[in-house]
Amino acid sequence: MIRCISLIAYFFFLQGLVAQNKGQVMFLVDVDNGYFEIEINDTMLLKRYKTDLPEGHYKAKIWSPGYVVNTVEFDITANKTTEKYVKMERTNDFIQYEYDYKQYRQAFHKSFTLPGALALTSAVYTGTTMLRMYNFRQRTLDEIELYNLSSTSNEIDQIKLNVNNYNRKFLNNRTYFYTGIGFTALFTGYTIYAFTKFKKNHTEPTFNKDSPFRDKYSFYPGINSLTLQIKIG
Amino acid sequence: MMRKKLLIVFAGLLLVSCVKKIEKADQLNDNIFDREYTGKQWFELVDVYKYFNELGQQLVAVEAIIPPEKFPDLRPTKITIGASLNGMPAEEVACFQNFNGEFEFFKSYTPNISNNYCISLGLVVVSTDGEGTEIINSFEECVQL
Repeated sequence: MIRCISLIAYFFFLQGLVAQNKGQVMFLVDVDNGYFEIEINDTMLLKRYKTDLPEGHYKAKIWSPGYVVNTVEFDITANKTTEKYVKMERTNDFIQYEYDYKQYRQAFHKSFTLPGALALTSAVYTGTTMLRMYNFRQRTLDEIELYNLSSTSNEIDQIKLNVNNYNRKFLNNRTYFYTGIGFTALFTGYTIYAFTKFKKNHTEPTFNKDSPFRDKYSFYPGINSLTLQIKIG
Repeated sequence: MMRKKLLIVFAGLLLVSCVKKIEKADQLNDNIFDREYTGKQWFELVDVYKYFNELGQQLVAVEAIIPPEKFPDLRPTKITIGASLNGMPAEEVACFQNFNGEFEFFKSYTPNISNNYCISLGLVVVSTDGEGTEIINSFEECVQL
């Protein structure tokens, strides 16, 4: 029933527009989030920056999340485009939200990003040393195998040098590996502890993103613009 | 659940085996061609006996073998042994494998009259600088005839 009445009302509204001389209005809304809503004459809601309107004087309310509703007035002249620059002011709530969110993110980085990055770096380092350790271990074993095969003294001398070299590198990487495991466990444990504590003590700040026009209109897409229709029932 | 635990235990064992020290790396001294060989005597004396040749001279024959297990896995077709009897200058003797995989050593000496014979055998290898040869890993065994 409501939809039917809305359709009829919208039909007559469009008929009215077609019958009159029209001009265009283009809003240049200065917001950094890219989203805004414009209510014209308390009857029509726009979610885009321009629309065609009949000649006349208009009053528009512009709103964007985190900004104070700004009211501007403008005139529409037939077959002309009116550009309206709208400077928006931040709400105090949003300024407070930005400060709180910055604090929240700083605490988050301190509790999770930093120790998490250290744990990850340590894990990558440990993984690398593990691969290198395994590689040198395998090369040492290969050289020992050659030692067992060889019947040439000078070749054996060289093999033993290689075994010593690879085995020393294997043992070094083994030490690095154990150290890396220790640090990885330490950083991972600390990350879990710090993040749990962070989740317990901090809540992500929010701000009201609800449009002041939200309860005034029901969504109804128009034919030649993204206008919304007034809710009657 | 049990399978998960087994998997964790298996992964742990695998990790431990990967990082286990290689004990053998510090104990590479059991190849008889290694100049730092510290193993036991690598040859076995088979027989030492006196005999007379066609000219009526008394000689001392030494027979020895090198068992296959004493050799590296890639065996040479021939080895050269530096052998000396009772401190006489060493002589190079070529040895070959028999059907049992053993290298056979045989050498006759014209010794000083004695009943006690000490046979020293070493392996002849290319010297470290690559010029000439040297005798390594000599062992001496004495017998009473």
